[in-house]
Amino acid sequence: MNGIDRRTFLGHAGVLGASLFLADGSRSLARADRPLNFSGWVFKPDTVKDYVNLYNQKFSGQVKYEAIPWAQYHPTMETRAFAGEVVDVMYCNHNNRERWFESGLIRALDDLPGLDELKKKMTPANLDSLKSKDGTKLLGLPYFTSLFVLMYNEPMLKDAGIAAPAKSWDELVEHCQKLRRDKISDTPFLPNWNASPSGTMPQLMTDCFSEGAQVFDAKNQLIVDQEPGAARAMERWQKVYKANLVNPEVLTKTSSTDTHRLMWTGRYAYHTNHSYYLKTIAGEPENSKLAPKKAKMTMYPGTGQTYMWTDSYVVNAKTKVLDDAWKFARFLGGNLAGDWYVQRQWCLISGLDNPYPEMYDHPEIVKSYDRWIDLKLLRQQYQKGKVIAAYKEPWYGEYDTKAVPIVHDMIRGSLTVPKALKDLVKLQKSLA
Amino acid sequence: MIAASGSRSTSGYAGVLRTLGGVGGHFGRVRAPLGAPHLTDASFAAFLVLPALLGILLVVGFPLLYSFWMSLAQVNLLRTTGPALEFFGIRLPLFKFVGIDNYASVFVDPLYWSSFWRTAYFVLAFVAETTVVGLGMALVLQESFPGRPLMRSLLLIPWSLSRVVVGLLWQGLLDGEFGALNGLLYNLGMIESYIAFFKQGFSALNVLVSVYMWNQAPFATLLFLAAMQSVPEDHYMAASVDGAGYWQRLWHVTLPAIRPVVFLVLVLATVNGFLMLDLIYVMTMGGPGHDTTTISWLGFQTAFAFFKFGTGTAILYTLTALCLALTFVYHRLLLRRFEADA
Amino acid sequence: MSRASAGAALGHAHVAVRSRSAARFVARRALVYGLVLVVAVWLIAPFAWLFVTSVSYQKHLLARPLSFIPPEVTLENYRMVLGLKRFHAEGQAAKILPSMLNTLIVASVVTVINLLVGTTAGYAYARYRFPLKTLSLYALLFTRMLPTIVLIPAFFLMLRALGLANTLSGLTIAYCSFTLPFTVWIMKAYFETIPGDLDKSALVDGCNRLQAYYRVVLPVSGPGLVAGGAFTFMLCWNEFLVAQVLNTKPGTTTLPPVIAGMNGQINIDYSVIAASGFLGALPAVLLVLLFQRYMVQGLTTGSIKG
Repeated sequence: MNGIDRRTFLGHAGVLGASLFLADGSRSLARADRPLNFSGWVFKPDTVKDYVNLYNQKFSGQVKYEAIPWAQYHPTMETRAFAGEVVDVMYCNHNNRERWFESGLIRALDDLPGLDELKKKMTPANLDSLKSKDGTKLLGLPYFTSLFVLMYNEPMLKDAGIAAPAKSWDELVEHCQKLRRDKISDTPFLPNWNASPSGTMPQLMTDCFSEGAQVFDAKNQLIVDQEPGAARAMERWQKVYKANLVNPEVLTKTSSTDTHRLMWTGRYAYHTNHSYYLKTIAGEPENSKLAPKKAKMTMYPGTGQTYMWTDSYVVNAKTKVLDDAWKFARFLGGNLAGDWYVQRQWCLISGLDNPYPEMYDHPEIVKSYDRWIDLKLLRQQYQKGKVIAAYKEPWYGEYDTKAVPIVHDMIRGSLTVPKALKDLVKLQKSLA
Repeated sequence: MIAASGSRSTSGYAGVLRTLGGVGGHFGRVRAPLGAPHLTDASFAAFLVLPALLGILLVVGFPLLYSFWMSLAQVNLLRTTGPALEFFGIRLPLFKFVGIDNYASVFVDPLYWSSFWRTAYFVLAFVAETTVVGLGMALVLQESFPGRPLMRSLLLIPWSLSRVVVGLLWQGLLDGEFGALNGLLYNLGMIESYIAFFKQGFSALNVLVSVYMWNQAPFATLLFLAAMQSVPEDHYMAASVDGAGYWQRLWHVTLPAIRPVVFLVLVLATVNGFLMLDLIYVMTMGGPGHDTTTISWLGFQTAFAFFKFGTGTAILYTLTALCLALTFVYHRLLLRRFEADA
Repeated sequence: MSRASAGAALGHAHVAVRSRSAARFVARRALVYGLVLVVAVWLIAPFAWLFVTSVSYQKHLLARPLSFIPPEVTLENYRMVLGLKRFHAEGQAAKILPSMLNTLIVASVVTVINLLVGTTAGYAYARYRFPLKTLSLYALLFTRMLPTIVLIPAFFLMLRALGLANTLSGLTIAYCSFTLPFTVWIMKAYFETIPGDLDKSALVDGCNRLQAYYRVVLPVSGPGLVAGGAFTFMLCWNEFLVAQVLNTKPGTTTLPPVIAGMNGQINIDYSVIAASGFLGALPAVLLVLLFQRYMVQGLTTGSIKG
């Protein structure tokens, strides 16, 4: 190699090195002393930001908040963990809690100060939900609890001369057929069949429960193929879809939020979705044509039982700032310094419920709920909320995702109901 | 080679094939009279080529092998202890070797096979659409009309867009609530209510094919145009004197002359069809149902949604094998053609 | 029949033929213009509509019948995207400009590496014979047919082991895997269009081989370099999946995942997403339109030869 060659080569290497260095150099911004990373999926990120700011001021915290789209949230957080990044406090939905715990991503909270007091204030069903599979450890503090409710478009039913909302499924289907026949609505029924983890599968469990069917047995094995109620629910789904009573767009919506926005248009008569969505439908005139209070909830048909769950704030097992993380987690999911600030804010701003019954005596909350829902009826529906334990199985997340296409194929009639239910069971067995 | 022996493009193509066949470049035997006389041409060339080849070895060759290894292993991303490759203090876990277990489980999965046939349909439809539309546009733009250069620049717009943007803008056209195409059909009175284009799986798959074609066909058009330009004018003249009409000239003169490029477009479209993934991610996420789940999406989802790197890489490796096999077939086909023509 | 009448009849026939062919000519032109119009609409209308939606209000997009000329033009969407106006998803919008900078850095560095390393190799392939040339050319062709996605699991673990996970350097390395083989190929094809006599005479004039390359051949290779460079830059600017998977940490990702994230974000109006998409597409579109002549030439030569 002669001189020029080597110089040229070293020159290349130098430029290369410098550019790579530059590329990373630009990222090394001044670091705060003890920053606390906090990530959640996108739900009212502006609200979250406001209370993170409040926390940072009030408790001189250094919380850095980041929101990730709901559909990608859990895989993204896992990728980040596998790549070696530590996010101190995270949202975690119920489906992924056990998986994250067993894979060593998050820690149990039982040894942390002040937890017992919070446990005592929680509804037992929700407390159980937050525990590990063996029931010995608490894996997270509650972000919110919710369940499926049936909402209806009161003015539309009145227009059609329907005096009261449906009390049974048959009646509901009948109403929808009439509305379509009378050209009052193209697609009167709006079930939450979106493909994300908060859509199709919890909706399926809800409708199975309302038909009196179990979905999982005591050993958390899927048994829908043995439950006549499950078949009934699914046949109804096929039927309403075939009769064009449902807007097929719901199948490709990416979140429950996107799905409920369809209800804003006032073009649908019945909608099943998470309870808190009625808050925007019936309580935000700037967005929804069904506000104020033109949309209402009614008790779920059949047994009235619907799927209930508790999503949570979890603490990273590898956090280097455990004290700060726990303090912030209590601010979010508990009553740090005796104040339920965040829990109350979610109630007031978004109608997100929480598992602390004492909150619902608070006059501010009662008044706020009164603007968009019949709180008594909602509490009554909560009496019928049904939790499962199967989501604590490590396979659950994958089952939940892979089951959606099977159910969608069934809805659209490319799979028969018995075949689909069998396929679901087969899928679950292949993962367990 | 018929028709276009003097043209730049086709002779160039043949040149490459010759090179690949081992004949070597025309510069082969030149020796430098000055400078580095102790260095032979071969070592000088090796010195020029080495950085790139080493780089490619590191960023393609090695990851390819490592991925292949993972396809034979049970990968648990959290347990990185155990066997590992170690060099210069860098430790790459090798995980637990399980032989062909991953492949075995893939091949008995009905979802894999349904995705396989869906992929085959996708590739076929995409190749057909791209070739036909690409050629059609080329024939139109080959005509003389004012503003032809401008039209040729417009070709580059769909092609230069990120697939994320392509997905977004077609969503804006096809959406069931605010899609402009729906709006147009509705305004024209052709539909009574907006169509959900992604409702039926088959229509969703076809929409994906067409959207991808919108993005890719312009490049095929550019290739066709370049090839058409190098068809000597006198071939057309001769055909015209013989009284051949437009379609006859197209069939007897243009198409034979650009045949190598037609093959090239077929190869590129086939490979691109197999590899398409980003548009699925942006537009359908493999749904509704499994109706837009292709092998690439299935592999991607297995690896990066369920973090089963072993099974995921196995699925992706079958895709790689398919691509290579088809390329090989095309290549054979091409080579034989050229040998027959030359 | 007299000769005169026969001539007249012939004349009539001529006129008839001429007017028929004139009519045919007009019909043919009309058809050509019609088809040109169809092609133009097909190519440009979708992108143009993206722009129109980006300056519209969502409520006008939802109106039925839809108005194709926005009743009200607004820059609100762009103001939201650029962080000049507060709105509920400003967190995601705030990522756009920094991620644009990241994309610019990665795309530029990859382009520079490609031009330095790839061009040199392309030159050697075009001009010299050396051991393993055929084999390595096959290998290059092979990598072009390779699904990049199959490499990503390996990159994920390799970059983690190297401590380069979630860095722009890591992404730069990964991007070279699908750009470098392309660049070598395109540049090889380009150098083959430059007469070999040029370097031969340079050698006769007293240059050594390296000087012949960078003093004589490179300076006349501008169009090829522009084609290769602009193409590499465009690929990197638009790349989505690799960045989405490898760089998940906030602040380390590039523009396409951020735009895709806007799409996945609930409660963002499509008009706002359209603004981010249009803004993100603009640099690549402008780059390509600016260098179109070279790119078309370089890529068609490169591809047709490849």
